[in-house]
Amino acid sequence: MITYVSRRLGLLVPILVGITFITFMVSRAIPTDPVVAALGQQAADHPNIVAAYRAQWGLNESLLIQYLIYMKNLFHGNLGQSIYTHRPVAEDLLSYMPATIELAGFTILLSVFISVPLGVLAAVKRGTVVDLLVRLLTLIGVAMPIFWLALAGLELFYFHMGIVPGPGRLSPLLNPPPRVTGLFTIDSLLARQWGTFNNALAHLILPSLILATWTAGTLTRMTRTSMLAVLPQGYLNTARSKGASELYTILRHALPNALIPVVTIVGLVFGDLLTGVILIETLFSWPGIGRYAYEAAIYADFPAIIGITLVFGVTYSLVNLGVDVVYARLDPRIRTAMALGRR
Amino acid sequence: MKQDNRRLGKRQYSLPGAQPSRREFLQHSAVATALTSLMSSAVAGATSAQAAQPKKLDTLVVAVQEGDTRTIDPDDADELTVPIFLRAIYDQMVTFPGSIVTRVVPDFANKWEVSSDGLTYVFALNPNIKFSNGKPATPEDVIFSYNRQRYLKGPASWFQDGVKSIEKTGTHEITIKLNSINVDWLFLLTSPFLSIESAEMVKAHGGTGAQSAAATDTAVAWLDQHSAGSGPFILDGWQHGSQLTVSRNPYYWGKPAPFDRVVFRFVEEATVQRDLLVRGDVQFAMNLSPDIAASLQGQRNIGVLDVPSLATVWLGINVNLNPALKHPKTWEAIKYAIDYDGMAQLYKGGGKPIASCLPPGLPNALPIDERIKQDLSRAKAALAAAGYPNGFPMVLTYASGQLYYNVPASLIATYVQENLNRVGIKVNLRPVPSTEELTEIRAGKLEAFIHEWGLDYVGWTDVLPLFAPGGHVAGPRQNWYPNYSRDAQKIADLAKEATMTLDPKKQQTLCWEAQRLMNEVGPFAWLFEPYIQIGYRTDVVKSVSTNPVWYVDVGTVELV
Repeated sequence: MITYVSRRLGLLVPILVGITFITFMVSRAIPTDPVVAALGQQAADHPNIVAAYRAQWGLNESLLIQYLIYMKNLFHGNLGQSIYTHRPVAEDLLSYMPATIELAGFTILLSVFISVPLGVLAAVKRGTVVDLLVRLLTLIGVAMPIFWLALAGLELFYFHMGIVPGPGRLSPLLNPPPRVTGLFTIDSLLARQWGTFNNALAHLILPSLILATWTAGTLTRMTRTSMLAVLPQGYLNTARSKGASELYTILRHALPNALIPVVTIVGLVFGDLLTGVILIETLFSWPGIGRYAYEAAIYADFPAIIGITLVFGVTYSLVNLGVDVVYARLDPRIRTAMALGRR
Repeated sequence: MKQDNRRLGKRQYSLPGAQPSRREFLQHSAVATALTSLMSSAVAGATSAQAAQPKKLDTLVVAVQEGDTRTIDPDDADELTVPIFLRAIYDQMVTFPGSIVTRVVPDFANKWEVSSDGLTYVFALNPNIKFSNGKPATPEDVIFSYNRQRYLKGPASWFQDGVKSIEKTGTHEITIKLNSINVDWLFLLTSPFLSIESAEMVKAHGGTGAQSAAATDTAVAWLDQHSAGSGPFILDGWQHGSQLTVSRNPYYWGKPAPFDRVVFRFVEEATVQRDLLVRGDVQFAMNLSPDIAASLQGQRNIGVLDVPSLATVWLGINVNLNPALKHPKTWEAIKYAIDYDGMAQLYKGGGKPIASCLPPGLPNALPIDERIKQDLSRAKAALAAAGYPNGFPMVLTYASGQLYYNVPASLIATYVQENLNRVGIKVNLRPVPSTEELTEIRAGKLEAFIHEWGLDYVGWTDVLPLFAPGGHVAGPRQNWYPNYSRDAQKIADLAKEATMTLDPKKQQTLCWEAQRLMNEVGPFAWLFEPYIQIGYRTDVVKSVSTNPVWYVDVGTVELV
């Protein structure tokens, strides 16, 4: 297993070099001048300011030289400096990532919490009204545009009913907890600030519920399909014949086997959530990586764009690796295959 | 198969009593109950905390777009969204009286004198001003602040271009000499980008006003999270994407604000800002769209402030690209084909018509009744005179996602397209990302475009000379130079003379003449001036002064 994981981690290097190269070249090919994006109207017409700016950000060098300088810095752990925020990209990423991780993590928790029982229920009650209802709900969840749900959710639950707090990660009247992980819920617990914890958790609920409508829809359908494939298996009858209750048989014997493909989807969905929360983050004033990515794109902030792409690339690769490792935990056959080096 | 599953389902509920399943069930139920109760208690806590309004307002909450805010360092910033924060923290040499922007009043300087040649300004500094560290302000602080901005060579360093020298000429006196006349120079000094910082505080954190500042100054990061000003508030911190918080400056020399703290909550969406305002979670919503502002009119406890932005939205023509657009008569056709009054129905309260490049709020603006109005027969006659009686095709570029303050560019572009089609001008709309549009405009690559000119400072010299032939806008962007025609030369001369004329009456005459001629023969159609629409809680806020640059001055808010 360790060899397998090391080999997979080793493969990350060429993938990341490829990502930087493609992103770098594409970002330079678009007809946008970062000087225009970053400087004001008077400043951009001022030759001295423009020259100083180009020199400062290495924009006068040839494309290849710019790329090589970038890669050299990258190998020293330096992702460069954002043209837009003027801060190191790594620092920016560290400040924006926790908000997204917290939102995506909570969404995944909610999704699994909702979708696994629903999927099992729908499979067990296949063809009944319950099944139909679950399938209808998941279809709605998958089909509804997230931005519409977000607007409608804010309008209904915050504006009209007032049962959830407004946008943001925390009430403006509260100070964020001392930073340890950057996740407000965790940090407030560590600092024993219970009021802040409650407030941060409350702010998480609506955006993550809305995001979860899509993820839970996908996961429920996957769980249902997977359970349907497992339920007719003979070993379940063996368990029953040994006197196990039906619920025990389903939870202990059927579900773990049905969860293997679900784990794959959870991994992919988590990756998608990290990269696809731009709309939610904008609507909920959530200072996450999605908004940072959006601003970087709008302002042609090349170092930030490459930094974000790298983070996304690494996240996807690591999540996939994590999924494979979990596979091995769930399925002894895969574990054996890994040990034999067949994958 | 179907039968089996149905049966299984039934059995699940008919046999719930076996020991292992109950344990499993209870475990899952416990987790479910714990999570649900945790969530509901969190929601209840959060909403009740918000519902319980304190009697006295300690914290003013302002919903505002973070937008392009890149830094809070006044010497390095030059972005549209920053002045509201800077104005709360720093003082400028002079400022505007409340919401009026046609004259200046003392701020950091008590009084001033201008030499008869308009080149030397002597300022007497207010001896009562103290910085937020309690130390009194000195002329050295002004010299340091202006030099640091100049030598940082950042996007705002052009503010110091016209300055020949700055000298301390008394304990509380400073003399500034200019290279050439700048009739708007006092207006320029109102800009929050010309804020005055405590030299001692900034130097203590790596700042320098030396010529090497661009390479050696390291104070920008510190100034993003702290402040060194003498304004009504002190910067507590800036959390990117989330909020910026300021608290009362105990050493502020002016009238203290009636609340301890201001939280600028970053909310990008106008609908969300409205929701927060209506529910009373914020006291100001800075970025309402015209539709939302209209829907809030007359609503209980909500008021809407309409603040002229002093920006100009115009249709610009590059006189060198499309052969049909090289002829001044086709420009005339375009100008007279547009239904400006009809357009006002589109942007609603989000804008107002303008008579020329100078919006009505600026000194020397052409009277509004001299504005061009739609005249289709004149437009058609102009087309015939240009040799295009049946019209011609043209490409009109605009920034696709752009808002002119809160009016969508696409709305205006589509309307102009319809108007021009009516006289036979076939407009192909070309929406592109805003940075691409700006790149192409500045490179002079667009045959026609719709764009917005926002002020860098409140002054007519930031507009008229730039739109005059050969100016920053007319020249490189539209290829309209003085040698284009005798009229073009005349407009350029008039604009130049106006910028050198100290006598206000004569200045106005020259500016009006230039604008009238520009309306007649210039490659521009002046579309409208966007308005900033700000929502506020009338049950909390009694009054506040507004401004096209910093929108609201939170230090002037009076509570009910």
